[in-house]
Amino acid sequence: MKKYLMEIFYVLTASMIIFSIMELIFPRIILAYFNINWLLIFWLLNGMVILIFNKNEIDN
Amino acid sequence: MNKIIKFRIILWLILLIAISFFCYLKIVPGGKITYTNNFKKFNYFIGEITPKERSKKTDEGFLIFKDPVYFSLQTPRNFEKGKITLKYKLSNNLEKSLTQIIELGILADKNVWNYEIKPLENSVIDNLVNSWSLIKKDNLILLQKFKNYENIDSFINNLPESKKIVIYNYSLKNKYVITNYKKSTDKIEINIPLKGNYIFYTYVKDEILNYDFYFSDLNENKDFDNIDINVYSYKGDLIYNKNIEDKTNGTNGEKIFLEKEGLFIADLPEGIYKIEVKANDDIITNKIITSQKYISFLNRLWLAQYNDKINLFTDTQEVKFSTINPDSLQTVFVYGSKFSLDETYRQISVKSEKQVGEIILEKGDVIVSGNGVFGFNKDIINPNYKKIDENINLDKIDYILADYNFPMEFNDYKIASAEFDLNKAYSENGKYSFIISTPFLNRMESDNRGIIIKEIAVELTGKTLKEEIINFFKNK
Repeated sequence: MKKYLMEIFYVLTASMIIFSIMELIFPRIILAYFNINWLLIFWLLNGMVILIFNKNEIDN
Repeated sequence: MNKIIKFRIILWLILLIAISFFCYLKIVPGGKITYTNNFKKFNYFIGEITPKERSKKTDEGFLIFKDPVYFSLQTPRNFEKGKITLKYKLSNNLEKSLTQIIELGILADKNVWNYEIKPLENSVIDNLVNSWSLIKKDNLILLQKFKNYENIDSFINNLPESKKIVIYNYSLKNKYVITNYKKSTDKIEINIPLKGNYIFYTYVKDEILNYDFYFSDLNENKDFDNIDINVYSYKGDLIYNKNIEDKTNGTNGEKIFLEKEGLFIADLPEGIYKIEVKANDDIITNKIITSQKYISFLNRLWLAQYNDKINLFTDTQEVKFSTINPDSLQTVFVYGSKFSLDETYRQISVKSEKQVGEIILEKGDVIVSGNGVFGFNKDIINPNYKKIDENINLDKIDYILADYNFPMEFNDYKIASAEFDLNKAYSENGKYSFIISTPFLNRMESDNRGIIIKEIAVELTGKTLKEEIINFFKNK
């Protein structure tokens, strides 16, 4: 499970970086259709779940 | 293949598809895209209707209760044409007006706040369709009280008396000739200062077109205060242009008097000429001196600060006055009756059936406007055919020539469209500004009655990606 979450985390991180760069070059190219904040929230939740998995692994 | 690798490939493919999708929407490779705003959620491309003082959001859409209102359109890239479609209805509590004219305009020139206006609905024409004879040729329609012409071409080639014709959204060229015209022997001097831009008609026969303009620059705003003087023939062809560049561009409020600008064109054929002084509101024309007999200002005049009586003459049947200066609130005499201009930023309108009437103002800094011409003496000329407006009286009219599409009806709603050339419109970073004009709403004093705009749809058309690439290499 953690492996899959890690894969999602990498793609979300890349998405945020790529979308931010696209927004800087062509303003509103993404924001006109999609609110990047949702991506950021999903990325944070995903990261938090991974950290919980990590903590459980260390505890075990 | 390992499951995790398959999962990784799928995720990165999704990201790639998302990036391609956003790029596709930005580039619009097919050269055609449609945006729709039904005002239920935020739309980045089509803005909401403003200002709040004249419109409000309701469950059914945007209610417009005062004229005019505005909205904006943000385009992702350059397009050549924009077709704007409005789906609207009158609110249930609004009594039907016989002169319900709804128009849509795009901002063409920001300096002079000039909008290119197109019709959406004209109830004067709509109501006559069943009682008058109708001839249609593409978008052009001819309505005849008595059927005298078989087609539109024969009408245009053999026009009846001009006072029997009204036009709408169509420019019918009229070779206006003044019989027994005698040129003026004295010079005419207009000493009443005018603010910003204005257009006037003048007449020339065996004489030199000669005007001296005395401008000053108030330097109140930060824009460059350039001045353009354009002269057009009766056909509408530009025959002369002069650009006076603002070399100082001051913003300190220091008034600068500019050098005299002379306009001198010899050997012009007899006829009417239209002169346009294009300038922003920082420019004051302090004085105009001319040897021409006629000088008639078209549609709108902003009389600048002037502390003496001003006499104007007009053929306008509804004259509108407004001021933004509290010191300019005053009593205005129009066609012999007294009216009070007692509020700033509010337009008062005065109607009359007279052909030519006199307006007397106590002082300046007042915007005077109307569907006609204004002059500082009784000698006014107006070569234009009458246009359909709110005050049209059809008793003496036999023909209506219009470039007009009848709105479609769908359930309770009407659907009307207007197409604009975006290359000629003003835009700032791909953002265009539109006006919705509904003058009949100004007769009401309620914010619960008006027009409900259910939906605005914009269809943009431009070059395809292939054409853009070919053009790019051709121009290299």
